[in-house]
Amino acid sequence: MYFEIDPKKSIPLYEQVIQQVKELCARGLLKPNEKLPSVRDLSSQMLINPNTVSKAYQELERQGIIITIRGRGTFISEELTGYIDPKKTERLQQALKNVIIDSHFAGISEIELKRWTEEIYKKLGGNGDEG
Amino acid sequence: MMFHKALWYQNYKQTRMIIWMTLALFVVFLPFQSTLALETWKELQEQAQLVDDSIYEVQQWDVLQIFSEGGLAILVTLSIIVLAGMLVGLERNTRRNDFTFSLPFYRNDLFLAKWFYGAILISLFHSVNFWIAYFIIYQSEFASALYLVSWTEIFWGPLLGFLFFFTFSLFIGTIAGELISQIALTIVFAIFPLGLFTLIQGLIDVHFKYYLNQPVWLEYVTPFMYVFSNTSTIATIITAIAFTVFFLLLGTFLYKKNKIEHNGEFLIFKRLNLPFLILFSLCFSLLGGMIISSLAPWNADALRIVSYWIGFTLFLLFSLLIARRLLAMNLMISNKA
Amino acid sequence: MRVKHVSKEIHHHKILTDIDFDIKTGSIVGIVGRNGAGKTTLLRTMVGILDPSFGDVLIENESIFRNPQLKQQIIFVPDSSEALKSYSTKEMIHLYKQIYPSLDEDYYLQLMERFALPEIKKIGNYSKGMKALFFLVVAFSTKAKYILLDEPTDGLDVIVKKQVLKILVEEVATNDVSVIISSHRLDELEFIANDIIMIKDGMVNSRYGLDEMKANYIKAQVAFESDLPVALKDQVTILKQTGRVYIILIDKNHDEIIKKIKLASPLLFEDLPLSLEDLFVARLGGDDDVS
Repeated sequence: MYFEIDPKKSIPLYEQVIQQVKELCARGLLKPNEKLPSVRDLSSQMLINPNTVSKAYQELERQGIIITIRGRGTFISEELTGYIDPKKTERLQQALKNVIIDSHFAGISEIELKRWTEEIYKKLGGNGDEG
Repeated sequence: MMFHKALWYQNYKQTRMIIWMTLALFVVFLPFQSTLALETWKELQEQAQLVDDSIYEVQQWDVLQIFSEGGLAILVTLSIIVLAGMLVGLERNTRRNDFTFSLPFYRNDLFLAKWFYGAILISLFHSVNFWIAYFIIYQSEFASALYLVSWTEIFWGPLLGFLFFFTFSLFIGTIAGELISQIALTIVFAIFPLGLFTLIQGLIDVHFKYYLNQPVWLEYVTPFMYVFSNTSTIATIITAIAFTVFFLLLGTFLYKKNKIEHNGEFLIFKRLNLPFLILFSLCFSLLGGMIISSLAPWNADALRIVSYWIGFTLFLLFSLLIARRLLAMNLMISNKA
Repeated sequence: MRVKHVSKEIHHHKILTDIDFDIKTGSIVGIVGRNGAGKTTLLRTMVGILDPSFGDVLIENESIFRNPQLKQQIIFVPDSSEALKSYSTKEMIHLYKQIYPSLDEDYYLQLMERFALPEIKKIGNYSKGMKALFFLVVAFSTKAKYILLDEPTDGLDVIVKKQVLKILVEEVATNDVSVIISSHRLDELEFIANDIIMIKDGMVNSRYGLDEMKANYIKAQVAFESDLPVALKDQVTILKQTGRVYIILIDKNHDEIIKKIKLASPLLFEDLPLSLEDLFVARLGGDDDVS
């Protein structure tokens, strides 16, 4: 995982950290439950003041994007939903649409398609709620 | 706290070389010199027997020569001055003084640690070597010579003299801004009372043909006499102790008041600049007068007086030039690393 | 730690005038100023090397001059290692262990290994970068609460400089230490310090928190048909001017000034990224005025 500050941006440094975490989540480079680097490691890696990182983490935690479990570290929140890349959603929607159109021409019914979907979700192991 | 290990260690680290040199000089000064003296006495004894069949007797002076005076005692004194310079003056030339003053110690303790360090080593070196030298003579056929002298003369006098001189050098170190000025000022002030008197004597002699007698107390207030003269008495011992205590206290007080931003300059206390300038020019001018007038024929009174004042003026100009340079100098080593 | 109204005169020159600030634990404070502004003198006074002419330096509300033992909580790393260059690394750590009872020798060895510093007979023989790292390693091993560094990265190559900054950041993150750094290099301090104290002519010119700095100023590029309106000239700091284009720094109550600029119908009015360096130039002297 790579964080980098942009000295040219006029926004405060801790907001840059917040934005970057959000962006990494959105691009799927940070996954729910994934551990984030500690304040010490991140500040040392980015060469910025540790207080800046803590401040950013506090704000991210307040926004529900990350959770800190004492003694274990900081993790991306499990219920992270609001920060999916809209472009990716769009692409997926388009792909699904293509599958449905193709299925329709192949004579596969809507019910059958839904059953397939459920079966795939079951195989993947109970993560059906996630979206 | 003044026996704090760190300070002891630091002081040793920056004086290691001179400490070993001092020890070597003490070895030469006492055990080695007494061995040589025994050989000399033996030789003289044999000669005396051979040449005129008389018996050679060791004189009091011969014994004193070993223990308390002569060129070697002066060399030891010089190494003691350098030791004091390494402890205080050299710290000022380098950045060590910054380090020392940044430490979590009272400045009193820093200074006293330096004093104890030097004083203990000097006492140790002197005592050990004294006893070796004493034993060398004691087990020889000239043992009886030791009865010619007193403990005060051969042991306490020199030891307290060295300690006083060390204290005095450290004290000068609290006024001087760096190593060389500390050493120079120590030497100058060690002979100052007698020196100044001699200069005044010269002035009066040239003008009034009157020879001023030297007062007895003058030797007591001249530090140099404590390590040079062999006339140690109870009185000199008491004054040596009194001066040691006085200069130790004064030094501790001044060290605490040191503004070390003036490190590297000639004097630490800027208030002393003017008195120093006056004293320095005066002595130098008097010296100039004395030297130039001595070139004139001894009985040409008027010529002597004229040449005295020519010398005086000339040296006054010199001294003012030199003093201005001295007081403006800064010998701080500030190389970055 | 508190620097309480410290003034210092040397040779009848006022080097420091009424310097007053405090330092919280767990922070990195940058003391920034041009060459000769009095940064080193300030640091040397803060560790009791120099006596202040007026004022005091307090730790736990007690004067370090009256009670120097408090200085076990401070360590000063000067910009020159002249004083201790004849020591071996082992001797150094031995010496510091006597001075700072809290020194952690295992931690020292750990750091030495981490920065690949060999034990050496004479510290003076280390390269410049190694010396800088070594003194930091020693300083952090003492576990002193306040670490004062005089120009810690001056003259180091990029790689060592990064290592130096890394150890600073990590120490502050892990232990509850405060690091006080003097520097004329702003680019390094900009992201590391959470507090910048700017010193000009021996006085605290301004003090910024890391985030408020950018909030308090706007750097912009403006150009007008004719010259910059006189009414504006006194209210903004001109960083640069080329032809009719001005690079300006707008101070604090900028809404009002921005309105004024817009009213004067500029040909060009654009925000520019603001760096600490801009503030440095604005607060401590222009491009050409070298002292």
